[in-house]
Amino acid sequence: MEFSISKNELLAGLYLCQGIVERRTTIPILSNVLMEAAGSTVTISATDQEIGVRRACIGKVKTPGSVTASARKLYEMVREFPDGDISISGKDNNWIEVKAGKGKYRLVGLDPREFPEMPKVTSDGARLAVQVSADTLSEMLGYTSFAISSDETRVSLNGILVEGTEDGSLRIVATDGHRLAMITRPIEGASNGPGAIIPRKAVGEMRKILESEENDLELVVGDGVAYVTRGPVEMSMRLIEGEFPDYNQVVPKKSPKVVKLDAGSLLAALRRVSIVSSERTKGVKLDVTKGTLELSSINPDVGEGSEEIEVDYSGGAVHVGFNARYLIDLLSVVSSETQIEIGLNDEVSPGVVRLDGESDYCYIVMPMRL
Amino acid sequence: MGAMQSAGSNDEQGREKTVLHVDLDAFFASVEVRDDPSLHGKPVVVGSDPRGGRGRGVVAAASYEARRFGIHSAMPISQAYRRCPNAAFVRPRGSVYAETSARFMTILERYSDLVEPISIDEAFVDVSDSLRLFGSGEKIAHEIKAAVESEERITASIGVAPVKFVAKVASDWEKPDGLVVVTTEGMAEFLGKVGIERLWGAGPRAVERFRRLGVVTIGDVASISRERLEKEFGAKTAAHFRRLAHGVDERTVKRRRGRKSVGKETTFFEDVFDRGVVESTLLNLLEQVTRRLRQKEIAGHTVTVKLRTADFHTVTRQATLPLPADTTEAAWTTVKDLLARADDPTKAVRLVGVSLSGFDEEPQLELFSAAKSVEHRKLAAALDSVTDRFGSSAVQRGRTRGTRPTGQGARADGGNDTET
Repeated sequence: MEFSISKNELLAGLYLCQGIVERRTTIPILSNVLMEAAGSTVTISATDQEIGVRRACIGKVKTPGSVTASARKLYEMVREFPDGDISISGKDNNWIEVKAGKGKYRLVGLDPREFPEMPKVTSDGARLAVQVSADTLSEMLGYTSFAISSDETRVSLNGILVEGTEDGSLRIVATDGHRLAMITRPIEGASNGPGAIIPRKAVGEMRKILESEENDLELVVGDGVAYVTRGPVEMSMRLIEGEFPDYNQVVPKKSPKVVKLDAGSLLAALRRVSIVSSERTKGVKLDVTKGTLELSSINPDVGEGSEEIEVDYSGGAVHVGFNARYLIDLLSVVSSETQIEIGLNDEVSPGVVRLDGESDYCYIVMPMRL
Repeated sequence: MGAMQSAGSNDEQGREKTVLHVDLDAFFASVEVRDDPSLHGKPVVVGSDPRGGRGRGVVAAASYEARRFGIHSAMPISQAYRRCPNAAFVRPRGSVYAETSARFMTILERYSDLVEPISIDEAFVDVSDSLRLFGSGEKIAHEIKAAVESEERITASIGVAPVKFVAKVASDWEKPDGLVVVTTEGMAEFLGKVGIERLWGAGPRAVERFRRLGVVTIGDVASISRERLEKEFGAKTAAHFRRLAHGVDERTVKRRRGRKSVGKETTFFEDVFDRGVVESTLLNLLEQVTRRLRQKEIAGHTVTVKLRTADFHTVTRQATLPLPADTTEAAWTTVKDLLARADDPTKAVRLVGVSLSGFDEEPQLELFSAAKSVEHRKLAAALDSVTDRFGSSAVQRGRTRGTRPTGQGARADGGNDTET
């Protein structure tokens, strides 16, 4: 097997593999990328048996065939090569030879026939198949994925829920049991059906693909597996089996007290006040009175602080505590001029944050007892 | 390089700390092997029913033998089955794990009163003040390992280090049944061997960025200039990473807030055979306990049922609830299960009691429990307000009504407080 390929093409393929390959694995081949040369294409793939990614790179194939090599070593090496063509050929005992400029390297490989199959969408059909613009999907993931739980004991929360709705929209929901982010966008081809939970790692890799490739993204959800394609890249992933909690029951119908202010000033004040809050809980108190929001925090080990922000509010006084990090997570992904609305009720009811002009987004945060 | 605080974390007197991170090996699976020796040496998977590969649900724990097949916790059970259909698939027994865990924590408390449980199977122990009494951190670690092994017949891995972060990495380093001691002097060398993905606070994205900077181990972080690191991660995160890479971690071991419990127990006037009476008495006691919790605005994670038979044999059974409870509804099913487990139906019952403990230190309210328990709360609040006005016999649940007349053998005063 022998092919040559431009540094940028090869790097684009290897880059997408870096997040997939397992770092500490009992199955050595999972640390490797598979490179398959045929026609004018070099397909580079990696899998951890949960997620598989594959990029069709343009190359000049002299002799078709396949090889595998350490994803990390090859990436580190190619990154340092000068711009230009790189040639890779298979040698005896699964070794590969890499040549670039005046450099010549030999890397240990493993038998490509041992390379595991990617998770596949089975033929019994797709539950959901949509084509979505990268901008739209990036935005939807950006507004939700920070709320994914990292508590491994709550497996069904370790990913985002993706589902079609009755009115032809795509909905994405993420929650860690303390806060929940939900966004809905009209997407052609979306239809009502059971949702799928895409694991955190796959969401991260999807966002990578959204940043580094071109064209719309196609998402197909099958039984237990989902499949994404964009330009030359395909990614398949096993879905989280389990029940996503019923988010409808936690979305408050209405919040009696709505505070309006701009995202930037709240973010800046929260960042300052939370410096004195407890490292672990990041508790910040919100006291809203007519026209004013006071943020305050007290931590006996550190000190105390408060900030006042002018807000658009004319209702009765409300006092409620929140984990500042939960609010900062959202405020950091919206532009600072964005007008936001925080719907409050009392100190034990969820706060609901909405963004001006985004009627299809809501972020629900449970308070903290302070 | 700028002035970097020296490695380790020192107390007010400037003394260096000795922190242990104690982690039980493959905890759930080890308990299963302990209780069923026929599983010894086999791949054991604790989780839901694999149903021949079509089962839903996930792996809760896998023995080291099972891990060799690539099976790990949180993996779908169907996939675990595909990887090793011959493994022993066992259902989890939460209450057994909770009881073992509680005894494990008390072993740790023999060596220090600064024990911070992190989860059911791991804890930090600050033994700085115990060194004179018990010897070095390494010696204490050996003793803890021996005690866990002889008393619980499972193994623990321990990391000993001057700071929490390094102790945690060290406990994982030679798992299972490992003991790794990292001294202040040896810290740089140790961190030079530890992969960057173990750096506390470094998620997959940060790890990716570190890789691009050529950082492979935590030790490598120290060789990156502060400016470069700040450019990549921002000043705050960069400072955090730099501190850790130099073995500086200011977090102290925080004592588990006093093991408080709120409970009630009652001794029957005459020993009782009728399990219906025992059960409804317990329900009544639980009602009083949860009412007190609501008054105190606390909720307990752990339920304990106590039963004393006529021959003065006392049994207690404990279980952990999925969510902290302050209502009778939230705890009752578990209490009934515990009673069934404690009960020997051939004997008459002399005393029953119930307590709730493990009060939630999390001030953060839960999203999904809130919606579900709102109905329970409304009912509880209504009962509380009537009871406050008319006394505790004014309203009783259907189940408890009429279970306390003296003719049935129960004490009329509703039992003793067992608050601790």
